[in-house]
Amino acid sequence: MSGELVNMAELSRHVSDGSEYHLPQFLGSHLELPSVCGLQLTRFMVVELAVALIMFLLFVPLAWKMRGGRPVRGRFWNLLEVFLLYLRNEVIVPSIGKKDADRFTPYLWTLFFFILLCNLCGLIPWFGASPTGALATTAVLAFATFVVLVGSGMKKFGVVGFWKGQVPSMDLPWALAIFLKPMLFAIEVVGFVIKHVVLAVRLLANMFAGHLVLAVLLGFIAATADKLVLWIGVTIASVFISLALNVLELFVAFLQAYIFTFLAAIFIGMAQHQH
Amino acid sequence: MKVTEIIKKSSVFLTRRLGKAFFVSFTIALCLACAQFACASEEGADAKLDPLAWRSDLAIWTAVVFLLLFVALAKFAFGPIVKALDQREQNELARQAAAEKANADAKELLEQYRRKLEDSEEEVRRMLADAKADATEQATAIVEDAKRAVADERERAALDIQAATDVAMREIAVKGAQLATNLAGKIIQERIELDPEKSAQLVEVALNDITE
Repeated sequence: MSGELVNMAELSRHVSDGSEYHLPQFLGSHLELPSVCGLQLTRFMVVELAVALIMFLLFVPLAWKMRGGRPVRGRFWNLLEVFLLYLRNEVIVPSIGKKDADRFTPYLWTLFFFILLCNLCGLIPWFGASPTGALATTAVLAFATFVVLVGSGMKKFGVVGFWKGQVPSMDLPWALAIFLKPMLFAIEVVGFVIKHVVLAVRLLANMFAGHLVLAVLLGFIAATADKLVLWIGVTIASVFISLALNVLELFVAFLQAYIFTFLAAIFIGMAQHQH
Repeated sequence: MKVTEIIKKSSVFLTRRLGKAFFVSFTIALCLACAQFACASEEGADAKLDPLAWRSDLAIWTAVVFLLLFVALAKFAFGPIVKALDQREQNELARQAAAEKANADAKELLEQYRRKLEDSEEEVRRMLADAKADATEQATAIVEDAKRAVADERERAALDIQAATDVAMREIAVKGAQLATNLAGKIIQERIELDPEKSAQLVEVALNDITE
């Protein structure tokens, strides 16, 4: 703790990715993850793989139970269906339109549940921090949305038609149009990219900040360990505040997954219905 | 053909032909870009606490996992679920239409029954009225017949009484005559026995009466 209240290097091991799992002390301190074909596995990778497996194990049986349009039975399956129906009817269809919505529904469902479960995994002790607290993860998800958006737009309007449609139609004299339309095109394309960058950064910042604040709060306990009276007060306060923040994080996990999916649906909808 | 039309048609042709391949090529491009980053970067898995630190291995891993997950779920879960929801919607609409038709049929049937019931009630009223009229007519006829029968019976009884009276009167007359004759015979016999002259006189008077 030399020179700083909380050891940030130690904290980073709990908040960011790493190639080892921190276990309860009675089980041993660390569990090293192996390398597969030269690729060092990390906690985030394991979490993503687990999330993918969980999603597969949840939704394939659900699809089997719903085949033929039959209503599902059981509280858990109904809860899952409520999530799916809400996203489809209240987010995807209003954003993209009933005609095109079903083509993008599987992608947006995958996106929402992947982000949600990644966010929630960060709240499970010893399971590893949330992969959505890493730029690499959120950037890939935003880039995937960008690819779906551009690809579907170009498929619908053609390559030229799609990019041409980024410029709002204006009845300008040709002399003005020569200067203004390229500028508008450049602004729209840059805006296009920025929107997706922001999509990635928003999710990253929210998840990373939440975990960091929680880690710092709990780090205060270790930082005051050499002063007994202070340590007791700080421990009680830190635990209660951390508990409250965990509840907030639970809400943020759902909220950020919803926001990412909602904005992705709006962007796709904008690409499907040009100016 | 105009240049814009050629461009438009060629772009439509390319996007149709290469529509699915487009996503795959973008993904491959992403993986290649990430791989380049990975080669250029010396940061490993043990990055420092920098939220904006780029982790190419994690990016490639995420892209592969997410892509495989999307393909698998679209094929085995979300695609069938979307179809199931559409099918459920169709089923619900069909069920609603069937229910509305059944409701309309039931209302029509109810109306038919109501009409039949009204007709039946009317028929019953008519039958009752007819029955009442018939009963009244029959009762009147029966009373008339009875009256007629009573009158006939009375007339017949009167005739019988008259006949019986006549017979009785005749019998009384005959009996009276016999009694009178017997009595007269006895008296005459006693007189004759007492006074033969007077008896001869009585015989003569009687013979005169008979001759008259």
